[in-house]
Amino acid sequence: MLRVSALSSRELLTVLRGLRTLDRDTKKVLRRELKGMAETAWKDALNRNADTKLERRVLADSGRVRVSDQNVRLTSASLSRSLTGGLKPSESYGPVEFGANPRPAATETVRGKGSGTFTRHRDPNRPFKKPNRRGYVVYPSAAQIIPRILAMYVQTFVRAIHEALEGKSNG
Amino acid sequence: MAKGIDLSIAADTRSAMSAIQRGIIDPLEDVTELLETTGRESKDAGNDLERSMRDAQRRTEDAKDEIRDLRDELNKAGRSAKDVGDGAGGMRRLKDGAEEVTQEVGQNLGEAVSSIRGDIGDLGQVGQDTLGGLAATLASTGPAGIVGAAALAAAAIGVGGLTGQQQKLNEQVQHMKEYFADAWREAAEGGRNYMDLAGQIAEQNDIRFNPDRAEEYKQMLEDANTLGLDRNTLIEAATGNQAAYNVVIERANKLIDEQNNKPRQDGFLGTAEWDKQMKRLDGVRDKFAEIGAANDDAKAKAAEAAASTSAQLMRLVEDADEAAVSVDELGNKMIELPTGETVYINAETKQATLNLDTFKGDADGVIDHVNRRDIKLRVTTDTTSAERSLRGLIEKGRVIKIGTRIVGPGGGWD
Repeated sequence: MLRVSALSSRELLTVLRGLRTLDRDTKKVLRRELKGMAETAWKDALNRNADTKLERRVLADSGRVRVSDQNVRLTSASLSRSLTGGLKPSESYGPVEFGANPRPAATETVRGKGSGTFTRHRDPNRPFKKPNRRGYVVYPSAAQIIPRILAMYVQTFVRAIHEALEGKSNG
Repeated sequence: MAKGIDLSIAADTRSAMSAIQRGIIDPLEDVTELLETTGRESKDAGNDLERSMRDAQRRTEDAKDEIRDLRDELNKAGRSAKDVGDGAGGMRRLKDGAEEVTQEVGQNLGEAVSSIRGDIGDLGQVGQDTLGGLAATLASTGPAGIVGAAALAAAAIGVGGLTGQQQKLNEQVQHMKEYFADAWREAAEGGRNYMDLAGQIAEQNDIRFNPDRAEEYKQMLEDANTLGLDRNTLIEAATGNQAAYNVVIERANKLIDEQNNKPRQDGFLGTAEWDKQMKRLDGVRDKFAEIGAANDDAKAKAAEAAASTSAQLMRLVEDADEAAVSVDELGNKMIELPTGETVYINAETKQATLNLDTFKGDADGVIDHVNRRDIKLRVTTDTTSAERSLRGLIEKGRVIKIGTRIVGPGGGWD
């Protein structure tokens, strides 16, 4: 499990408590600040863990962070736009993240030059690493980065309150 | 639709939040303390905090069963709080006794669970009554045990107070549930497998005109704007019109998908607007999901009731020695038994009821007096053919014949 239960962290529970008392503008500032920081950190982690071009294109480049009041969501490959060449990360991220078994016996039918068609062996899973249920890029990145992002979450919250008390407003 | 990978970094925030809101988790504790510690040691604070979060991550992993239990108990406590409705006075009383247990739990765990309110005296009593072994769990003081014990405590005392707004919301939900239950009960008793349209229209007009429900109506208009749908569609959907309901849910899902794919712009207005829109959409979808659930629930019960009633009446008919059977032009049957009961079998649903409202009168004026063997034969033929036609097991022609009834030479059934 990567995620941190709010019930197991005093700091998180405290933030949840405190969020109730914050006004909307402060919350807005909080979300905006946090999004910037968290997204940088998340993309950084993804890029460090992605070691092939395919992984970078499909998983790292599409890393985003969504911040709500009560939670932060790390997403990857959830854009529905196709990459150059037609691959849709949101549909086909599976084998890139989790690997795929080689299928050397798989055949494909090819049209020859002028003289009909013939079949040949070609492994469609060649580009992928071996199966790994823990994932290669996104899940390890998340496991590493989640504590840091949560720490940012708490710090940002604390700072937002301090600044609100001092009467600063960057909204 | 493929969604890509989406990980929330903190789990259980929703149940924790609602527990805080209802006062099961102490809403006021230690915010200032956190502010001070995090603010003061500014140099190491970040690292400390990250380390603490890493600990929490590990704890979540180690104690995930207990945390799941705790969450379930908190949620359950929330539900029972809704049922009871008034526990505010009790909560105040419990608060005084709570400190001892929270301190003890807090020392052993040194974490969040300690702030769950509990009364040591009540813990003991509850332990004796239902949650046996609680004291032992507390004494053994494994972190896991403590979490579990705290969960039990939370469940035991979690009949917390409700805020006014929640109460109002609950009233609306309650009203909706009652409406669906009533409508489907009526349907079941009438041998129908659909809701009465007149009842739906009455409810729709109630939403529109009843001054007590003005707020509900206003919300409907807002929701209609959010979804870009006709307001009548929403009102129909809320009162059990399945077609309208499907339109609404589909639309909401589609808009939410679209919204998710839209970039959540940085910058002041874009971000706020995105959040606001998402919240609105989520709200509408959640509301209608709840309406749908209430409707489905009542519908399932109605089907159950109708089937059971039908089976009982069929048995009654089958056991009768003789009966007078009339059939109307739609194929509905009215069976008068010597005991005085009149059973009505709907041609379309093949369900037997005592409700004669829709019987159109005897079409051919012939009342068939039949003996016991015939009744059984005919009634069972009727119902089994309905079942078969559902499964499409026999040739269609024959089923249709039975459904529409062709009068044979003897005035009987073909």
